[in-house]
Amino acid sequence: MMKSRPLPSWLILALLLAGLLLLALGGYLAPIVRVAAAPALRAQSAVVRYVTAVRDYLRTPTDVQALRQRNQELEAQVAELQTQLALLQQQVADLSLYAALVDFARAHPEHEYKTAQVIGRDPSPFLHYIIINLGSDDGIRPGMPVVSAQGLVGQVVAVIPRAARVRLITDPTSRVSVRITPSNTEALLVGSVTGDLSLEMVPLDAKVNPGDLVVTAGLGGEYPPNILVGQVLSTRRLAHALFQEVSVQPATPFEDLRLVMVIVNFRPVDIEPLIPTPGPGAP
Amino acid sequence: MRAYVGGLILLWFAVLLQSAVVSQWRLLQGAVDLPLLVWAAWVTRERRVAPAWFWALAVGALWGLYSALPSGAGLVIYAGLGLVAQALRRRIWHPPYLLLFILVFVGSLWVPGLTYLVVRFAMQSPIPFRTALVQVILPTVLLNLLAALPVYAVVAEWADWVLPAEEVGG
Repeated sequence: MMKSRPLPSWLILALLLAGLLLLALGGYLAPIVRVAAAPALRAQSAVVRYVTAVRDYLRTPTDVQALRQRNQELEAQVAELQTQLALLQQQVADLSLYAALVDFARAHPEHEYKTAQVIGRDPSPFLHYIIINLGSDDGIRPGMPVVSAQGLVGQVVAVIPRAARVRLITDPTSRVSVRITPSNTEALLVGSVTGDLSLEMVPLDAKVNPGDLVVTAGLGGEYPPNILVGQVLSTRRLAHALFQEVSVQPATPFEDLRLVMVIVNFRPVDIEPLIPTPGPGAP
Repeated sequence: MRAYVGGLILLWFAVLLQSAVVSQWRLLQGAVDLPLLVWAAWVTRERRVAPAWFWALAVGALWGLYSALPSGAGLVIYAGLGLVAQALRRRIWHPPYLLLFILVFVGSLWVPGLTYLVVRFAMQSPIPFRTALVQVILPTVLLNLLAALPVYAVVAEWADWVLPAEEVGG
């Protein structure tokens, strides 16, 4: 009997490796590899995590400093952009105001206007005056009417070279001759310390209703006619009174007055010399 | 000199702010009277450079520039208040807050009260006294008393910077 010769160990090993290689190439070892590799991968992940943590810990001071610097730069940029945004929003608001003023000027082409900015108000709450940034150097004279995009504002009462003081129609001393439409009733618009407007000298039989428009009458020579003043808010007829009590909602928002227009081609007429005065023999 | 310039700049800035901004912040028709508050805080803080009436005249003159009151009315109104303050300042040394609140209270009645008289009788403005009291004077007193301490804090900082150390009271 012939004794078989054992295969060399290297051949067995080579065959095993070749078999394993073939199995691996064929995909038959994937489940085994997956199971076997899992602990190794977990271990590798843990090592990487710890190494990264240590590295980050060592590099942290530099990073925080860089981040803080970057943060400061970004905050400065945000602040600058916010300022620009606020300025642009302001310009948009101003543009819409200017557009409204242009609309008003187009609706009343018979007048010449100069646009002025409101730069101050009277420090006393008893007085309703504003200060505008146009003065005698700009051709502004006392007596010139002042309007807003919505309607009548008041009248220039004092002027210096670069500024003027305007008495608002809401001032308690203000008196404006007005006409109520559509009834064409004439009346006297007076202001008050609270800023409310009311009409005086409205006859009891005049047909005045809430919602009627109030425009300047042009009588007295202080204001040009047909400038919108406001709208009738309410009326009250008292039996014993000679006149109606009429309150008016002003067209101009006086609390938020920023831009106004001065009518520069209107010359007020002083009719005081025409008002008869009692003679020396009069009682 | 530095104290005079510093005081005048402070008072002018107060009048400017009043005209441009503060006069629009209203309670009914009353508003914080910033020039009055700044003046009261300044004369409480500054006791050696100039008498109270001097600073009152300065406020009155500046106030008159911005106001439509007849010429000199602001000067007269504040001059009277300055004399009252001078008398009070001689009697009340400590604590400064007591003098501050008394000045603010008296000034809050004095300035709008006299302004009302000027507007009513010199400018022929038909404002009923009750309306003036309820709508303007009392709200002004309330607002001024509320704003007195914050304004004093700001003015005190300014005074510490402007006045020499021995001139700073309180």
